[in-house]
Order: sequence, then C-alpha cells, then structure tokens
Amino acid sequence: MKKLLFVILAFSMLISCKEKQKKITGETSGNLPAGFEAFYKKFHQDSFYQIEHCVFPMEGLPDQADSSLNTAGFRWTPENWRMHKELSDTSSGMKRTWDIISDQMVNERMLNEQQGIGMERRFAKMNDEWYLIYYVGVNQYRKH
Amino acid sequence: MIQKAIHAHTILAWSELEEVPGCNKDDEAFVREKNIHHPLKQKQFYAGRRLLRSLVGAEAVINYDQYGGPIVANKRNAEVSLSHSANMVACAYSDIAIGIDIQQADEKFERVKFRFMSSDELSESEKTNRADYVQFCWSAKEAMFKAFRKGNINFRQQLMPNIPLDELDLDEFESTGHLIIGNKLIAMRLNYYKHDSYTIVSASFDASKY
Repeated sequence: MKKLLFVILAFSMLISCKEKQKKITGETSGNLPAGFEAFYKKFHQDSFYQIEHCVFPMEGLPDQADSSLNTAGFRWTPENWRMHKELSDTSSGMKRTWDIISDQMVNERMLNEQQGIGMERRFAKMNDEWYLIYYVGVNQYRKH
Repeated sequence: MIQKAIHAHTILAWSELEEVPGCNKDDEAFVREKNIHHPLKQKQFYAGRRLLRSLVGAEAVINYDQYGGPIVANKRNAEVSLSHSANMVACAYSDIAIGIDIQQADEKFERVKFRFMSSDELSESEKTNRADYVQFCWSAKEAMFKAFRKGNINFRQQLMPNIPLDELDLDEFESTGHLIIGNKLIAMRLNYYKHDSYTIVSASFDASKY
C-alpha cells in the first residue's frame, strides 16, 4: 500500500511541478485548446473512435488499486480497457478540474471530496489528433 | 425506409438520410445548444430523431440519459436506440432494453480488430478471412454495449456475440450473444442485417430478469 501511495504521490508532484511551469487552470472548459472539446465529445459518444484514440499500452492505475496488484507495472491494454462514458459532474457527485499543461496536453481530474475519491486522465495531441495517454481509475486520494 | 419487427414489441428501421421527412423545432434548438455545426452531423442528427418519431409517435420528446443514450421522456416503457453511419441512419424502439448499430463497410474495422475482438474471434476472423465478419462483430458488440447503456465494458472480454459463420451470406440472421458482468451472464438476442455496404445489428434483452 505504501508503494502505491508513493506512486500516486510521485505522479501528483510531477504534475504540480509541470503545472507551475506552464499550466492555465480552469474549472470550466473555457480555456481548453481549440478542437479539444469536439474530440472529448466524440471520444465518449463514439466507441470506435474511443478505442482508436487510446494509446495502448497506457500508463495509469485500475479502479480501486491496492497493494495486492502489481500497480507499478500496470498498463491499460485492449485486454483490460473498459469503454468510458462521459461522467457528468451532477450525476457522479464529482467535481471536474482541467489543467491545461500546454496546447498539446490536457489533464482532467474528477474528485469527490466528500468521499475522498477521484480519477485522472491525460490527453495529448499527436500528429494533429488528440489521444488519451494516461488514466488512473477511481481511487482514494490524499489532499496535498 | 426499411422496417423490421423482430418480436411483438420491438421495431427496427433504417433509411437513407434524404428519405426521412419532417422537421422539429426542439431538434433545431438542440442543434444550436450543442453546437452541432458540421452539415453531415446535423443531417444525421435530424434524420435520426425524425426516424425515431416515425416509430414512437410525432409527439415523442427525445432526451438523453446520464450515459448519453436517447430516451423518450414522455412515454413509459419506451426503450430506444439510434445509430448513424455515412448516409444512413437506423433506430430501434422496444419495451425491453435495446441497442442498434449501423456501419458502412470500412477498412478501419480490420485495422483495429485487435482492440475489440477476443482471441477466439480473431482466430475465426483469420480462418474466414471475411471483412463482413469483423464488421458484424464490431456492430454486434456496439449494439450490446448500447443495450446495456451503463458503459464500463471491455469489448474483448465481456461481449460475446457468437456470430453464426455459416449464415454470413444471408441477408438477415440472428444469434444469442452474451454480456459478462461479474459472475452474471446476460443473454441478448442479436438480429443481423445487410443493406448494400452497410451492416445493421440490434441487441435486445429483458433487463428486469437481471
């Protein structure tokens, strides 16, 4: 479990450092790079488009990751990928935060502060197309 | 427009975009609200909603559930599904859980098949060497996924359409597919159709039994 917390903490610190350099943070989608919103909508509405726009094997963590899993080497692949539907803030009780790392990279966090759970996804633009490149499923999180 | 009644209370329909008449102010407002600008997307959107109303009734108020699937807000026990591909639109109307998918033939299915087909299905695909098998496999899984509605499904491991290979040359056929949720096996009736270069598959099941 300590190892897992370390991985999550280390990743969060990495994000924080990068954010200090070049992030534009907004809780609304107003500042998102051009073309990202259309991609995001299609990613959730069109399953085929979704599996075409995931970069496998993808780093991240499964839902409810715990010490019984070898999470350090965990990768999302077509074997374990579960199709994502769009989570609305109201129906999920989660609060969405966008971190715009650059015009080519966007980080999305969904947090339910009451329950202390959250998920995280990172999207990157490569060859003029957006892709999902990182996904941490719903897990307990610690405030920093 | 082609219509098929697959059992007493389930009707499927598909049509070319131009064939579907009528217009609705709610649909126009929705297109503005959701910023649907692309002309083909607009055409597909309008055609889908019109085709759905032609089955459900002109008074149908079409909305979307929390998973993004269409619902008829002013009619009880009305399960609906919509799909479009290129110049065609398909819809399904039932009193049990229903999903429909239409796809125009495209080499993209072959290119991405390793991402959605199980190892058994991939073996069958190699043996048969038929593009329509791969396309039907995608459509069947997508229809099952839509019928289940809730998402969070692995296409390779949890959706097993069981496509009857010896019936692939027929214009229409059916099978019983299975969705695996934990230790539960949900049986779905799958109906397969060919229309020119398009495949259409519907998946239906009685959700009250699970």
